[in-house]
Amino acid sequence: MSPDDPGHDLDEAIAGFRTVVGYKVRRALGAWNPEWEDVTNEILAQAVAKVRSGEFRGESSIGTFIFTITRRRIADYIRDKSRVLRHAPEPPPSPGPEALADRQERARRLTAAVRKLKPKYRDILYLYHFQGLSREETARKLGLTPIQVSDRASYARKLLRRLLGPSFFPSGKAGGD
Amino acid sequence: MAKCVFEDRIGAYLKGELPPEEEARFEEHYFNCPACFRETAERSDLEEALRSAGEAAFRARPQVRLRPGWVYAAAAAVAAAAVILSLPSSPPKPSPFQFPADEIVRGPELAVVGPAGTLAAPPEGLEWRPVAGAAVYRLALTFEGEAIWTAETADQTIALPAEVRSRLVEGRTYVWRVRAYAAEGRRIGVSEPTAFRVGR
Repeated sequence: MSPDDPGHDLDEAIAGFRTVVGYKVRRALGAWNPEWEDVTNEILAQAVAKVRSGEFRGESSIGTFIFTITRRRIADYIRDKSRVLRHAPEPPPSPGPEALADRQERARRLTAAVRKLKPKYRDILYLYHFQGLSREETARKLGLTPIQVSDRASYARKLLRRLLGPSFFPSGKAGGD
Repeated sequence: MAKCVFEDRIGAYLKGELPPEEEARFEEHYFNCPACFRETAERSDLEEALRSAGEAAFRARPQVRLRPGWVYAAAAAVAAAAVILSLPSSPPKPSPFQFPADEIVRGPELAVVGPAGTLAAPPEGLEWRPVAGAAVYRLALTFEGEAIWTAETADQTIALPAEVRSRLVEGRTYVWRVRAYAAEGRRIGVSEPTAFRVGR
């Protein structure tokens, strides 16, 4: 297809959803499932095919259209996988040595950054993001209001972003736009 | 810049606190809102990295130290609970990669305390943060994808039997994982695979 083809722009627009589709797929299938990339590619190919065949009529946004395809494909994957696994169990997916080394390096960098923060920011990161307490629970533990928890957590994340740089946060790069 | 009305849901979404319909609505939203998606993905990256870093990111605590008394108590509890010990001659079946709908875990992942990273000596035990409603935790310690030891306990820590510790080879990377189950057998939490290496 040439760049002058009217479908070219739409194909490019769909390709722009790779990051958000990949994120949703990894979240649903498990971060270490090696099949996430194949499933993502299938979703994007399906979206292109449906657009070309006229199934996308612009009644919803292109984002909602791709989201719908993504949800269905994930549901199919889980159903098919469950069927196969009844007959042939597989070991759980786990990270390879490179991924483990990368994760350990990220953990080391993050530890160094967290230790540079003031205690009030470390506390909020510990309770809200590490322990996974709700905003209300965190507020009760720290004697803050839930809004103060959101604000302080947001500022703590901003400080970490500054210390770690954008490359530390790969999932959201070029996301969906 | 005006704040998106959905932005307040990011925290609850990542913690798995949104009801299914609201979760789907939020996901549909972030497929259409690059700002909310970026914020969601970034927080997700951060929380995953924090879980990998473990408590060590917040406190100077290089590895799990179990109290001697606790070790003996845990060893007794482990024996009483009929812990399965596997040796290379009869390796236990690795846990199946379970994916039926009722096994999908919603909610925050089970947070590991340790051990993780490079250790001076074989760890005395494994430790994780408790999950509300968990009746039993099942552990698997693996080497290159093969389970070398599996066990279960109701506690949030478990001692590594001396026999297993003695089998840990210096320089090799071992990966362990813990899953939490409710009393009726439903899986309610699962940790990220956590790696540690003994020695250099």
